[in-house]
Amino acid sequence: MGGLLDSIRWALRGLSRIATVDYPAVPDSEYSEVEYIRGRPVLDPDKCTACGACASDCPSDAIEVGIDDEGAYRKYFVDRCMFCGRCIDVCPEGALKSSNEHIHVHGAGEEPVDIYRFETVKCLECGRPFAVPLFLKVVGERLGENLDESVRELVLVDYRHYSRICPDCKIKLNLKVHPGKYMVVG
Amino acid sequence: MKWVKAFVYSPWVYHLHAGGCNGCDIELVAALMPKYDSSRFGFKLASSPRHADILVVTGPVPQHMKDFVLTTYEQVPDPKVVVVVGHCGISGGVFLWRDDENYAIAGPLNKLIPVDVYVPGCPPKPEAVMSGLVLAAKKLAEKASGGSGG
Repeated sequence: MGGLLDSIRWALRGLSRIATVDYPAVPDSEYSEVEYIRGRPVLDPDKCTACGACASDCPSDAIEVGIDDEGAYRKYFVDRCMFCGRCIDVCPEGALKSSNEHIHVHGAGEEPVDIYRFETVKCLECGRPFAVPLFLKVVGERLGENLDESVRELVLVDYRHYSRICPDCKIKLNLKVHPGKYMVVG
Repeated sequence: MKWVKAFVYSPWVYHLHAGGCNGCDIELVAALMPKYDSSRFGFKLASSPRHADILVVTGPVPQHMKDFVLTTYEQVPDPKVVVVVGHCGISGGVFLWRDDENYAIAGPLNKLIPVDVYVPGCPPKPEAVMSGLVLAAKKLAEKASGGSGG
């Protein structure tokens, strides 16, 4: 009997208000849940180190992080994004935040793409752009935290120099400094 | 409420399910139901593509659906507007990576037929589907008055 009374009560409540959602959606209105849902993730460029964790973990390949001749870049293809929030979870710097922008309707040939270009450090040896300054700074800080006090200063002095050299040149330099330490194959 | 100057008559929608997970289909039906009430703009589900003005396609279009999609597109009379709902149909999504190929997928949809309106999301909320339908109605009105056809 209680169930029936509840049903009648709900039915009467339905009579006293409008159930239809407004169009266009009004975020503050009583009937719209827009503020509680996941939308496109927004990048904070001051925190991003262009490490590429978001790009490698994106299930639908919506993010591209890379380096070309002009420097490091991050592209975000809204059309490919499924708003799962995986990039927000994996970002080690907390540079991504969810927003409630979920309506990205567009016509043909108007695909929204967010492109952000970073300042890039050039290699001391070959002059090729290879990393973002914030990335080198963050790695240096983490390295300092995890090292024993007796060797910290020694390693960090080395890090400050070697972090400015690109990975390819680092291998060449290592072979020059420590001949016989590595076996060159091929 | 802001009224949208739409097509001269009520645009009828044909829903084509092309191999999706059913998420977008549920959201599309929700957009036509009383809570989101797309029929305030005159949208109505048609049971045959021959009666429709707007073709709504969901899903990544697998190889076995390719012929059905093409046949259905041809059956819709001119002027017509194609709306693709969900990121599977737009770009292949999780089934098809950028600059890649998948032996099972014939899509994305704009490889097969001209697409006019894109509604990204996985799945898009009914509100997004509704905005897509409204944009489609505007494009339909343009096409009808321009006389350019589908």
